Amino acid sequence: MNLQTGAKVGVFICKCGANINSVVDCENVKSYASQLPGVTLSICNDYLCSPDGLMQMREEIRKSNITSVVVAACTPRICEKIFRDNIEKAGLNRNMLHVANIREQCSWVHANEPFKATEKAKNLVKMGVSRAKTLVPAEGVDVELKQEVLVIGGGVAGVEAAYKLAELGFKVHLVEKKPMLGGNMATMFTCLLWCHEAPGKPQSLNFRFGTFPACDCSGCTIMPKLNDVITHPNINILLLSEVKEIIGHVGNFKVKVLKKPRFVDEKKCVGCGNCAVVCPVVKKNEYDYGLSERKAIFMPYQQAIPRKYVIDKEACLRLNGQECSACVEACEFEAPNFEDREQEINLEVGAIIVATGFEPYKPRIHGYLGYHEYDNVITIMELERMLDKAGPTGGIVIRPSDGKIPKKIAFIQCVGSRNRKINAGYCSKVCCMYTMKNAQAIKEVHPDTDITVYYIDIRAVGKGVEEFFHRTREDYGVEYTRGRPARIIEDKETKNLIVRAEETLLNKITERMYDLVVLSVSLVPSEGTQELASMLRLRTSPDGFIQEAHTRMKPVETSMEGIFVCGCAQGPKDVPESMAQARAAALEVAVLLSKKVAKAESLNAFIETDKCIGCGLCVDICPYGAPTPVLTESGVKMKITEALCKGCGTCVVSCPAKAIHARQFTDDQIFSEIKAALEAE
Amino acid sequence: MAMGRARKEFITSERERLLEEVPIVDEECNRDFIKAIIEMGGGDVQVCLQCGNCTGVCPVSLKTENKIRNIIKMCQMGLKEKVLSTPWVCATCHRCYEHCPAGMNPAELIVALRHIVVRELGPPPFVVSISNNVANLGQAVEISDEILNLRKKIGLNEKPFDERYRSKAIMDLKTIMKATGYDKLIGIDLGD
Repeated sequence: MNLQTGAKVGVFICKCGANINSVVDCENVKSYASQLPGVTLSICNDYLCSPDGLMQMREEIRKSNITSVVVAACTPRICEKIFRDNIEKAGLNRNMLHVANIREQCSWVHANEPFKATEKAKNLVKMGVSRAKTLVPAEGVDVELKQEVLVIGGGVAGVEAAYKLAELGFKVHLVEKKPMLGGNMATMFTCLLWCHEAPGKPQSLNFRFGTFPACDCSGCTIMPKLNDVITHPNINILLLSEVKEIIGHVGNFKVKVLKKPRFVDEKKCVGCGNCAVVCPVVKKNEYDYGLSERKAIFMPYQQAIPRKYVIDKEACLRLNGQECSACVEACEFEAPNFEDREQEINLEVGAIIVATGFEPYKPRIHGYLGYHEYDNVITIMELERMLDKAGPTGGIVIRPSDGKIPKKIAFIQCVGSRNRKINAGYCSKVCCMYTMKNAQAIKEVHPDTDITVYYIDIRAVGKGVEEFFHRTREDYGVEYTRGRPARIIEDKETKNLIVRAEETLLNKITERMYDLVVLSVSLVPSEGTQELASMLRLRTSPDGFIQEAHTRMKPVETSMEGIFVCGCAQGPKDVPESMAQARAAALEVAVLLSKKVAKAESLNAFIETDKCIGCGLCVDICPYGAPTPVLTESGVKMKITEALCKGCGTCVVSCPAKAIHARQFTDDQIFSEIKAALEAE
Repeated sequence: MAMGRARKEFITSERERLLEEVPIVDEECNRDFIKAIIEMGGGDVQVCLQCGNCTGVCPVSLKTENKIRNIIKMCQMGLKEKVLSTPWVCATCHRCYEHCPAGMNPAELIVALRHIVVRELGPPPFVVSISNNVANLGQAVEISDEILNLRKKIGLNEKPFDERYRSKAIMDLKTIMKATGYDKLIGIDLGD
């Protein structure tokens, strides 16, 4: 045993008010601990983590010349750092601490068995004392923090976070999967200024419609921001790019980004569109949800930023081995570039912000609401594109079956939300409001439309949102009917739709005819969120969105240090909330990186060079690339770079020669705990 | 004067058509009822969001005053007296289960309610007669003499089944009913 000679252990027991003391008899534990060999001092305190408790701890450590400390309190996940800092202030090395969890592991789980809980607490303290005697001082290592940041996702949240960090002077790499920035918000571009001249429009209402609740045009609000971002000297925008691999740790992530070819030179293209006019290939435009057509060389939508064309690799004749050079001949600037190849870009960054956002839920292939069977059943995103003045229908709402303007429209809420058959049954939070916004917008464009909204509950919370709901019903005359539609039947000749639903407030079954049915679909994690999360070793919540580190106190941090999350990647939310989170994440990154150098806890593994046989198993198994072979006088030996090691212990158990040890969890320390646990009373 | 008389006549005639409803009071809300339901296999009754999807797909909802959604709400409130008079119209087609967004199974709730009704109030007469038929004839409905005569008249076998297999199946059915106590619960006589 690697015992400290003459170790003096101090045991500090926290009552946590009644949290621990109402179940565990703390005074009993205290007197038990004071009799254990090597224990100099044993004290109870009501709240050990309070300033008074910490001061008492420091004073007692100094007075009794304590050499190592056992704290019996809550889980080390909460207070360990506070206690380590505190014993350091008292003059001890910060490693000379053991935390015995007598709250989560005793008083909480064994609340019905106080006697046994107390016995367990005693045992945990005994094990802790035994281990505390084997602790050795160690210094943490300095880690240099790279002053660059990776932002994954170029939607409103990612763009805002990148912009703020760039303004603070950090170099930001903004990776976006699509050929343009702005994400979902930019596709809700709606500028209805023109309709103010429309006859029959209520005079008092002076709104434009893009995003709720202020109803300002989303394009008008996001465009200036996007322009700032593309021209910012500190921001490196990587469009059509995906993160392929990430290794490393806080302050030093090594990232591999795959940039797909655009086949159009971004520097030369001016976005004139001459190429698209002559391109012979016609496809459905996925960015307009199939409502419009595009060519093989195309701009996703009119207001896409940057205004650069892109070639669809699957559709282009030239890229599929046929003779065609129509776009090359039409372009004055020689922008089309068929030699463009996939590039692999390597980045080294200090912190990562995940802002991968959401995508609208696509109803099941043969859902009961008939999305795939009936032409006139559309989703809200298709309606958003129709309401775009520069969109596929020029700002008017039409029936896809015959192009006529619908007179009666039904909105169906909670499609894919609050449904445990489809996902975890979460509420998407924004659908009630976007339906109100779009219902108002339709009433502005076509004032004589009848609109009915089928809902389960209206969740109009937030500043100004309840008023927004009242305006929808009172000023615009939108009817709300409470009940989830049971089925939709199509009239084969007119393509009208009969919606059968119970009006639950009247206790009656209704069957009403509509020209158009709009499904208010939920927000689901964007494609690839799960893969990215496992690549970054982040947890996801049951709904599939990325889990924050702590719901209340750490809303933008993740379980991995140095990786932050903001916007809809964390869960469905509206634009103001995404903006607030993006700025919070940017601030967290700035706080982290502004230190330039961080001290890592000395959790790392170390190698006893004499015992090392140079087999290299640890090199293969380490997820962080910390061990490397070095040639010494006695042959090849492994060396661990302490700054890279995270102390996971994988190499320790894999080493056949038992040459590797984890600094805080040596065999001696663990066996001393086990021995104490198994010892007879 | 004429106006006053007309109004009086109107009010008098309306009064006869007014309902005599009374508010639901606390004594009617039996919170232990949910426990009984859970015991009988209707455990997910508390997840209902009252969205009305089940009523919309229910093939018998237009035939009943208390729709399936109302029954679930009454169960949640513990309105035992009101609920126990209702559960026999359900066809247990389970369409409500297929459509329920909350993942609840309303049809199974109805089955649980039937268990409770039979145990507390006894089975309704039609259940007794059907059970008797199943136990003694092997089918829910007795074949009428009219049909038997008709079969004979056009030269078919007198009975539309083979008696040997049938009597063995009926014996098995009786054994099961005895072993599970079904005969005593419903009050049917199985003979020996």
